Amino acid sequence: MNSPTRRADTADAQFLRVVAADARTVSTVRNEFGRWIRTHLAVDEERISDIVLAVNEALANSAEFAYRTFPKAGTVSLEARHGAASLVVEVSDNGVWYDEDPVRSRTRGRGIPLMKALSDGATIERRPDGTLVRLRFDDCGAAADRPGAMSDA
Amino acid sequence: MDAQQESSSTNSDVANFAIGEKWVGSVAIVSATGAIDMLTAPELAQAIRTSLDKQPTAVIVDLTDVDFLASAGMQVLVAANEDAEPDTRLVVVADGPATSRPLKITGITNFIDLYPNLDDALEKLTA
Repeated sequence: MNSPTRRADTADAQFLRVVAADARTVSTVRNEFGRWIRTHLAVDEERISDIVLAVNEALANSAEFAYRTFPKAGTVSLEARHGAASLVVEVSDNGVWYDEDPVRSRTRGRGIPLMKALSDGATIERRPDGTLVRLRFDDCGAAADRPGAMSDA
Repeated sequence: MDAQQESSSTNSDVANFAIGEKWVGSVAIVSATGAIDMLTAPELAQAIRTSLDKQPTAVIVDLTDVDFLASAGMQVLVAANEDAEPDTRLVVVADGPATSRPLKITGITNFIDLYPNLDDALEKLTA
């Protein structure tokens, strides 16, 4: 089981952005993250699409919902770490968006089901200081020429 | 003889994103390029609405050149399909992991017909 504390492990590839939680920056960060995946992971196009879409949905939920009742929008953080064979992505904000209302019209609410379908594990944690989405993608190999790439120990 | 009119296209200030409308007979084709996400989905919604106002017999939403389709974009397709029914048929052209796959995963293809390319869609609609 992974320790919840942050390890400074230089063999892990990492990506971290903290940006304003709005539609424009979501799109920019998504594109940057897509490029990072292509550089650091050896996964096929379908997997890349799945990962980018799942992460987009988490970012988009923060941008759309997190700060709705706040006087102004806050930030959303995207942190990804790739170690061994798993990619773990955490998207967090300091707002309030996830609620368990099961009543959804047909034209809304596909983001969360998509995150669950596209990843190997998706959790949404509602905390007093904000919301944290954690997405896990298993069986993601490292790109062969990535510095510090290690095979499974 | 098919009448084809190149009508309008708009570019948002997002690099690479564009929407176009053209007609083949009485079938309107709304095509998009680039990413359809929460930022750009409203433009797609508007373009489909504009086409529907011209009363085509069918609308083809062509996502052939779309490289990313977020749930915001998929919601536009679902809502537009509801607007179009029952008078106008709406179908989608999409192929590949970024577009046709999420449409299938979300079950949208259970109620909106999906074609891998424009020719197939046109053939079916004008048959």
